[in-house]
Amino acid sequence: MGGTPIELEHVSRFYGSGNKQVRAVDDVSFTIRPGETLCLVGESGCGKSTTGRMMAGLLEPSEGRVLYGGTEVGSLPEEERKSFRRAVQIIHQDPYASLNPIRSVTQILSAPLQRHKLVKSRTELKTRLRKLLETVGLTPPEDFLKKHPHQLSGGQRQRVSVARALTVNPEVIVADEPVSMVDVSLRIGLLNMLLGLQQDLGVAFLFITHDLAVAKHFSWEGRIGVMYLGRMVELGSTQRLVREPVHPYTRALISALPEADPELTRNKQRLRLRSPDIPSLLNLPTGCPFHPRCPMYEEGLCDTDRPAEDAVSLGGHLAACYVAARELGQEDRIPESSKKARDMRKTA
Amino acid sequence: MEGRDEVLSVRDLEIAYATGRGLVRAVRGVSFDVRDDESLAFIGESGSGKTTLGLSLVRLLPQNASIARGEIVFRTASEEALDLTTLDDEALRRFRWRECAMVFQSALNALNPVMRIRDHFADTAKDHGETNGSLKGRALTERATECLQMVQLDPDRVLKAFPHELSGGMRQRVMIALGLLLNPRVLILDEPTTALDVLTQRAIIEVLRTLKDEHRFAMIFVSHDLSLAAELADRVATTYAGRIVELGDVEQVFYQPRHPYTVGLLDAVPTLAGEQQELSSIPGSPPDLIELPSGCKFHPRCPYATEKCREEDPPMTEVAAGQTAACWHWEKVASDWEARGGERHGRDAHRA
Repeated sequence: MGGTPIELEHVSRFYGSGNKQVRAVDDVSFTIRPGETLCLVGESGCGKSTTGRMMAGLLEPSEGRVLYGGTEVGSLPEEERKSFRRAVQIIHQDPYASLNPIRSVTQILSAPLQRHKLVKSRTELKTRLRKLLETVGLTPPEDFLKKHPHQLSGGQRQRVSVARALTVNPEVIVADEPVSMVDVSLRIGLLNMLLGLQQDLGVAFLFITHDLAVAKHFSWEGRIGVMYLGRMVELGSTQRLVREPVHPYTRALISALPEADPELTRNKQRLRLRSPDIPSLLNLPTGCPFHPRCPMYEEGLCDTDRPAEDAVSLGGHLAACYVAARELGQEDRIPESSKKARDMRKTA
Repeated sequence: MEGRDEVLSVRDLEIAYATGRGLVRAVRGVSFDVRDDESLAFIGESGSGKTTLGLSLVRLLPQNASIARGEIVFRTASEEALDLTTLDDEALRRFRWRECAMVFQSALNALNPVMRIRDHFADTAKDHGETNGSLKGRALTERATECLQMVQLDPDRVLKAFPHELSGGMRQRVMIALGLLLNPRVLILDEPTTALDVLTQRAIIEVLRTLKDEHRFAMIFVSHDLSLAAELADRVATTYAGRIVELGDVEQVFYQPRHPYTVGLLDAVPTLAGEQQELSSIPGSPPDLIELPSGCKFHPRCPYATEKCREEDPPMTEVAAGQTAACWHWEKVASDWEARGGERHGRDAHRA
């Protein structure tokens, strides 16, 4: 499989206009390297799915660029655009809505193979279909080829969606909450199957989930990006982010998450938020979007300038928080205006 | 268990839905007791019958469902024993919300969009309250204010709001406050945190924990989420294919599970604390409730299944003081669990 990185460069997506404008994604940058796993984590409305759709080329950024092998996706020549379309596949959240109910599994999987002329003969097609189903754990394949979606369970349907994404040998799979609608007892099986694809086929993943524990399990060797109100607030290696989160929002998420272990979860350190309610995207707070809820909030410092994505930068681990920057000895990353505002209010 | 403070006793309950394809046996021979100060969590996957069970406790089952057998005995505040399966409509109306209230799963859509929150309280009071209507006007506002404060909402803002003006977490708390209005002895919560964001979930959990600590009433949770049970339950019942397969104290069920299905669920849930874990899912899929497998309903997915399991459904057996499980091989399950006990995250991370 090829090795073309996909870069998101200061990408934003706006909806509506004027004072009704919503910045669903606001100035987000990251790169997916070949074979890498990046999980986007955040609450509903944080812009994680919109980011995924922009990366998959299903949605155009309002600002910023998506680069495939260094070229902006919108200006790729016809041939390369086609190969981008093949290289990036998406798996949707709802396996009940993403498969055509009147097509059999064979038809669902054959269409992309034939369209992209990836098989030359009927025998080759048959072999390929069997192989695909085996790869996603639908065995024996004969039991599934003639079935229609309604004859499959949620977990099995989601596996068919994965097999469909694999037909065109993608380099990157954007998986948008692929397990959240699947029964608990089957979730891990699906996740482990996707992990296998990453290990055996070298497929890179942009894995979108609201569940940090799932993100940790899926990208233990990879990275996690935490989004809040359209912005990336922390991005770094999974192991470090889970053990030593820098941004107070990440800390709040980790401390709030209930765990399936009575002693552990009842004795967990809790971070008290200043407000339980998430602000509206239509009326975003000034400065850091998290400041009205943040337990580390400092007047002047946090509500003046919006912290840059790399306000904290520790060997590739980024966090958008000035208080953390100061605590970690990176005071120089705080703009003068914010320092001034803080000092003025302190003396006042 | 002493019988004195039990508020609810369910015995051998059977509920089935009539459908075009046949009879869906959603609840099969379920028995349990709830004390008036404890919280009991039913955990299980979709289709395990847990929602049907919850609905039956307030007799709000859909038209096509029928209670085929068993009894649901409720002890009211005035020490009267009511068998819910035999109550008429008028008696049920007086029973609901005053003795036993329910917070529904689809809480986000359960409020009437064209009614202010205040009117929701008035409606509930009118429908289920005293026949002479003592809870209205000032008294009603006072009680509604009290209930909203119990769930940490600002009554001044919320009472005059329409549902769409409130966030999902606030609406869920309104639903809980409505449940508390008539001071019930039992509150049933069906998936109270599902579909809410993590920080909102946390707020709801804290509200429920405070309620549980400060007020004397029983809570029954129904959830697919093991972590909710770990947070809030005193006792846990694992349900599979319409019956309880394991029942015990929360520590027993999480740290000494004796049913292979409970073990399977625990092994399938990732935790955030600690290192990367070996996780595995339970093979196969949940059973079709119309054509149930023979013998133990879990046998097609069970690593311990033997000939006996295919033939005979195991009864609930006492496996420890206060813990029961329905498995022919629970001793083997126990010794296997103990053998690999060290790798279990919580015990490890926590007791080390």
